[in-house]
Amino acid sequence: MRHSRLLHRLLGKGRWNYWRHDQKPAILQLPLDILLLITDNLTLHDKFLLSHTCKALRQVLLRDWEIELPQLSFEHQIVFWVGLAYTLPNRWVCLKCCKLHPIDTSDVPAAFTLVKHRTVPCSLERSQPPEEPGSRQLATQPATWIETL
Amino acid sequence: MAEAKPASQKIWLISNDNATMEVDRVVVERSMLLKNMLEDLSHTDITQDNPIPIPNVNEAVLRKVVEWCEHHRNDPVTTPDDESDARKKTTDIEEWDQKFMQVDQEMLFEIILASNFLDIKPLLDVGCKTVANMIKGKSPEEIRKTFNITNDFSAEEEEQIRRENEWAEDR
Repeated sequence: MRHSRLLHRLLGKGRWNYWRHDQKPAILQLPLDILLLITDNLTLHDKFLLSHTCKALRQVLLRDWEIELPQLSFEHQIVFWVGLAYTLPNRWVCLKCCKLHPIDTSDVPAAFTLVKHRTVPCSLERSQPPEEPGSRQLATQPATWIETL
Repeated sequence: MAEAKPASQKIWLISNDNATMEVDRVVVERSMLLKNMLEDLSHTDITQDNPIPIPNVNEAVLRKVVEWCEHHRNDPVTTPDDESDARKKTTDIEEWDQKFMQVDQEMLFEIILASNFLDIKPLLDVGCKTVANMIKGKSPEEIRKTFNITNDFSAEEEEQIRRENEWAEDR
């Protein structure tokens, strides 16, 4: 009797009917607790990007990034921006101001002598041209650009 | 007659499509659900003619789950604290598990659901890490392509996302 009761309990647990091919994609048919286990393994920038894919995943991952990010340590913020820069080929991460900047396409060796006064977005002052002018931001994108002042 | 030792004892499972399989008890006990159930039963309760039904798990998935349990039959049992620590540390997956998880997405999600149902936490963890690794480093459009997700945002939500991207990009 106990055997049959246990089997009955077993049978009654976790009924599901997933993978209805005419409906949502399989990942969106997962129960919320499993989706959360998956997103637990993601870094913050991956959650940011995943929340931009569809309504359902946005609901799971929605947060106020502008408020939440500045509350993190500097290192974690940099990790966030570097992660984002991997998917944004026109941006690079500046360690000085902990932000993304657009890549300046005039900042290449051939253009460096022609551009006397360039505008650096984070207002870094350069009295001297860098030893290896230009291409540094391109070469280091998406990794962080460590500016030697 | 003395009872058979659990390690050599055989257990029979039956999938929801009526495939019966014989598995060593020690392998079955990777599932906390079945382990707890077996502890409440006499070893003679489960026979080839009276196997344990595994509802919602078909033969192909059950064979994969049993294959994983066979490979990991001697792994130490982790405590919940160990698991949560290990889970947070890394999404590294050992090589055998990586190869084991090289299946189509439907099978991958079925394995995750089956391991959740059967309470096999290390397998659930490997499955979730595998899916997470499929998401990592991808743009929203690449993620959509990977999982066949449709962009179903309303105009208002699109505007919110545009603002979030502006916040991230335009500095």
